[in-house]
Order: sequence, then C-alpha cells, then structure tokens
Amino acid sequence: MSIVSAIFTASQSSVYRWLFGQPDRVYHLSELKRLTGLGSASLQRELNRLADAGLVNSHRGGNLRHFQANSQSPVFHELVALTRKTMGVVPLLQEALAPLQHKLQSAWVYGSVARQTDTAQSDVDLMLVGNDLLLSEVLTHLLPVETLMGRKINPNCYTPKEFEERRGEPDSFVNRVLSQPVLVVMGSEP
Amino acid sequence: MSLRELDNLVRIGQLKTEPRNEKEIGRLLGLARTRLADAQLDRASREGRFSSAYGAAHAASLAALRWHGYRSENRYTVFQCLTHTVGWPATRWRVLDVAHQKRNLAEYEGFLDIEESTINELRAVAAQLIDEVFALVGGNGI
Repeated sequence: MSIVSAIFTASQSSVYRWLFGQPDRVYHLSELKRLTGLGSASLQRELNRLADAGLVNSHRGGNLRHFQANSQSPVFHELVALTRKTMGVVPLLQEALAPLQHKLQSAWVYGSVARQTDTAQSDVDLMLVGNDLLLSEVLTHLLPVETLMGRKINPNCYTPKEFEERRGEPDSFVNRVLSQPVLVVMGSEP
Repeated sequence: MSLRELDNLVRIGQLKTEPRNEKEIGRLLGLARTRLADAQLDRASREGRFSSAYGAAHAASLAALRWHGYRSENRYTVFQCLTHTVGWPATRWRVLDVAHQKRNLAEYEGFLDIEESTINELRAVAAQLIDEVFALVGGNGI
C-alpha cells in the first residue's frame, strides 16, 4: 500500500496532484478533465467538495469555470506539502525507477525543482548512479511519468566509478550540482 | 511527402518547409557516415568521439527531415521529428536529446561530463539511424 493510496481515493489523488501539486496554476474544467482522466460526474463531485470547503476557488469567466487552490485556506500549505510528498516528483520517480533498483546506487533530483524555484514549464533534472544503465532503458521507465507530471525529465547517468572520479574533480559538473539542494529519490544524501 | 504533425510544427513556427534536395540529403548522409567513423577512432579523445557520434546522429536526423521536405535549425526539433520522419519511439530519439544537452554543457560551460557508456550508446543509436534513413531515402547518397 503506497502512502498516497492510504490517504486519498484514486479520484482525489488525481485532482490533488494538479490543484495542489501546481497551486499557482488556474485550470479550466475541461483541462482538469483531460489531465485527471476522470469522468465528468466524479470530477464535478471532487471539485464541488473542495470548493464548498473553501480549499479551492472556483470562478466563472464567460462560459468557462476556472479552478485554483485557495492560498488563503487555513490548510493550504499543509495540502501543498502533503501532495508534493505523497505524489510529487520524488514518489513518482521512486515508483518509476523501482524496476531498475537492482542497478541503481543513487538517484537525485537537482536543479530548479530541488531548489523549489521551478515553474510549471521547468524540466526535472535527474542524476542517476548505477551499473549498466542504458539511457534508452531509463527513458522507457521515465516517459510515462513525464506524461503524468506534464514535465520533461532529463536523466544523467553515471557508473559508480565515473561518479567517484567526478566527485574528485573540484570543478566538475557533478560537484556543482551536488553543492546545491537535491531531493533524494534513491540511496542516501550525496 | 507531407506529414500532418510536421505541418502543425510549421504552423507554430518551429519548422520550415523547403523542397527536397537529393544532393543535400546525400551530402548529409555522407557526413553522418564520416562522423560515425571518427567516433570509432580509439586514439581520439573522449570528447572528440562523443562529438562525432552526436554530429553523425544530427546529420542523419536532418537528412530524414529534409527528405520529407522540411528544415529546422533547432537541434532539439530535428531530433523530436524522428518520431514522424522515421517512426522512432521517444525512448530512442530522447537519447539524442540527452546527448544534445551534454554537448551544450561542454560547448557553453566547458563541463566535459561525458562517460564511455554514453558514447557507446550514442554510437549504436547513430549507426542504426543512418541505416534507417538510408533505407528511407531509397539508397540516395551512396
């Protein structure tokens, strides 16, 4: 049982992933229908509950209804944090990379997502250390997550030996990346 | 030959149309082969072999795009179009996109962050691409 499915129903998590996963973004109803893949009835039910409780703002512009997370609600920050922790980049990547676990030593997200300066268009930069990693194989596992997140993932693969060599060069790309915040997906803090 | 998806890219300004030029396609495929051969030279540096394999893949990708009657100066777009020009799945052409980013890191920031495993995979992808584009254009540019 994953944390997310212990806390949220499947339709809740598919709505929260967008509304609280990207809380600055305003969604049209039809957009949410496409992104969540939910039927109209269940999507409306989830949105009405959230709007009635004041967790989400809903307003009408012309014929379109817009929805956005309500940043003034008393639990806004908690919901955003809970969403990011349970269905944000890290748990999605953990699930996607699980089949490669036997080859992987560590995996970290770096760049704007790790620094929390990302926008909806930001790519997810991923550093992988492991044996016999083929980019095409790694991409096979990552591409479905891109669709789910609506973001591109840029994997960067190293063998443990290559990684240690780069760590030993003071001005290497690896050291530049690791001197900034990272999110641990697998393994330990660098 | 015109592809609906590529015409959409023309409409949003990411791609240009330009009639097929068989001589140009022949030159590009020739360049792709030369650069792939360079990528296999053991005495060349790691960066040199990487950049040759990358150049081979780009020349072959551009040849496929030109064969369909399009052009782009944007390398990401040229790779992205492989989905339509030779029917490649994203898992395959995205290897070239990763190589493109490594090349930028090397050329614009001086980080020579290139691993042997990456060169091996890139060479294999480039070789396969050259074969497929050669088959696509029906033996042009021998």
